[in-house]
Amino acid sequence: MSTVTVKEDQSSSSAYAELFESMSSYFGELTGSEFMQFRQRGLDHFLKSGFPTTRDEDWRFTSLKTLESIKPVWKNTEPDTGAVRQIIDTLPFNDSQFNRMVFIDGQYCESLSTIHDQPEGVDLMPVSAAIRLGLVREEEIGQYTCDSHSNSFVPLNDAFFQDGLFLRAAKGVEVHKPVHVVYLASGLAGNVQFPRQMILMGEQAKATIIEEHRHVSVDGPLFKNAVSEIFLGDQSHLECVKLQLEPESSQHFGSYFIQATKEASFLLHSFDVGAGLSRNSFKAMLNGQNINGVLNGLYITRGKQLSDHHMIVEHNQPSCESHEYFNGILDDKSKAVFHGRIHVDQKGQKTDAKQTNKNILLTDDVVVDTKPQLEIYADDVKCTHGATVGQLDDEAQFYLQARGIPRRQARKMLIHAFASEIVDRIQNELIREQVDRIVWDTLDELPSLK
Amino acid sequence: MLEIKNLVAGVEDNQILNGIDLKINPGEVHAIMGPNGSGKSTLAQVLAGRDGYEVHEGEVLFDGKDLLDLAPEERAGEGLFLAFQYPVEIPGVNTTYFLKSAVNAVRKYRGLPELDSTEFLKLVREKMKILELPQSFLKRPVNEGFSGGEKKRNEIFQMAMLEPKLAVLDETDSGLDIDALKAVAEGVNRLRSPDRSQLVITHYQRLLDYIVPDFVHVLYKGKIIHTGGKELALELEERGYDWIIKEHNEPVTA
Repeated sequence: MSTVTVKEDQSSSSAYAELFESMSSYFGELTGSEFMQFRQRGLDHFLKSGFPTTRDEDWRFTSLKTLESIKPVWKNTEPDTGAVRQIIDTLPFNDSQFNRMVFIDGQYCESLSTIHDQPEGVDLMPVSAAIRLGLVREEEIGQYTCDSHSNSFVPLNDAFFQDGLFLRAAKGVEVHKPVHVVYLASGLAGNVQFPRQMILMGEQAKATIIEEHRHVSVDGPLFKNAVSEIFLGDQSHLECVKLQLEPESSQHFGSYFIQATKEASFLLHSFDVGAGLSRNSFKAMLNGQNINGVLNGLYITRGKQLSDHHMIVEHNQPSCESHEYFNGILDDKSKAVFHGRIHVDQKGQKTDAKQTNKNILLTDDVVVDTKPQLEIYADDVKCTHGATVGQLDDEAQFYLQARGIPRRQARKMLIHAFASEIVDRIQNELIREQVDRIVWDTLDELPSLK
Repeated sequence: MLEIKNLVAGVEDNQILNGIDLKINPGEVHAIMGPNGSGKSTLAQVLAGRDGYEVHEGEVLFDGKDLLDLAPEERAGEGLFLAFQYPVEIPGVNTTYFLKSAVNAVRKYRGLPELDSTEFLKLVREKMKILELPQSFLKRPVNEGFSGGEKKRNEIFQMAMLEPKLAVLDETDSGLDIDALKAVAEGVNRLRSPDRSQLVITHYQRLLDYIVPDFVHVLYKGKIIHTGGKELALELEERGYDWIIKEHNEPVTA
């Protein structure tokens, strides 16, 4: 392994070079020597680029100062499964109705996981196991994160990736029961986590996934940097719900890459209610005809939270539909950023792309930066975008009050209705009900609604 | 039951009501008629407690309580109901859930136990029959995509559910065909009782064929300028408002 020399002024980068050194034997155990070159390339790239700054157009509204002040620490410790089990037992997604995979501080915890018998053609396991079994080779990892180098969190994850969901479904197979993946921070193994997911859907395969980010009890700052690679074969269908419920001390980064082929359909839902700062990148590449993709999200922020969604949808082939629906509810002095780019290639005739971002501001001190962007190189397309930022509907509130419903309850009903526009798009009923409950609980805690 | 004394109110600098006096006793039905812009809807909004209307002078007593001092939901709790001229569409709020929240909020205010789901549904079915509303209605979001007639029926249905002491009907007849008008009037009449009162605000005499008032008041430029019995409505229908306005402007000197 080569040693890395770093310029002195890149203090945060050098900290990651040191971290890499300290984790290298762990990486050797986890993914074997085969992946060391891949990791090294990621590290080199990151050390060269460093974290983005607000001078980068894609990061204009999201400062990473707090993240850069975190000194990354990692310790090779066994997770405290006792403490975690108590949390797991209270989770809303029951392991008789779901497959459950638990990762604590980035490491797979088999004793807390339940994987039901699967039909032939389904490989459901942690990425580390898939690597050990030879299901993933070095050249396969990272192949779907193409053009990701504008986002230095991806090479950083390449270098440090630990573990995560691996799901591969062969042609025509439906994964038995939804997969519930929990990424838990316990703080025992340090303050950094690098989950990596691979979801590979064969032709006409079907799956439902709920990805949940939680914590046990964490003191001090936390940095989570997750990367998900998704491939959708012809006519495959995937529904994926991401639920981010981290503590305010957390800096959460998640990058999703979806490559879809002919007639595939997918729904990706992002429920972003935790973390001091969260950045959720979704990049969907529609590389076949007649693909139908929905990106659907809700962020609820309070305190000094910042929730950032950065979406790119590329229409590279004719007759695809993409819909983005994002609603935000902001309280206290929180901030939200929504950046949605729709790119229609010359070949993308008959594209139908729609994007909406609606925000409700509960105080005068919140800030929303919303930036829709259309780049269209085909001449026969239907593309619309719209963004709204506003208060609750006064007339509706008065109507409810005039029927005897107290002001606070009336406001909550209206905000819940606004959130439901997003929640109701979840197709899986079990997940929808539980997410709805979590949304209610979150709204209950908002200072402006108390 | 309701006593309005010298009510002066408006929106921002625009004074619309210029000293209204009106007394409604239990069991009485009063109609307020008047030309466009006379302040009829403003009176309804001020009584219900809509934000943005300022009361500059006067008072309103509801069963002896200072109505203007109460929040809109407290007024509803006390037994005041406003049937909206333009019922608001509330996407995402399901009608059953809305009604149950309203009924139980009002019951709670009145010190009554809340209804459980079975009791609530029983009440709903009973009241729905009166207004001939389809069951599917309950599953839809409040007023969303309803026709004009459905919205007005929904108002009266809510009124039936909440059993107010005083119902203020703000142009409930507007936009209704004759069948819908009859159904709405039938719903209103069923709620008539010696201890309930109604204040019917309307532009046309038509509604008053079905909801027969004890008193008819003419509102003009924010003041009640004439009061009569139910026959006044017919006279207004035939002769218009001009003769009353003229009498008001040039008081006959003996």
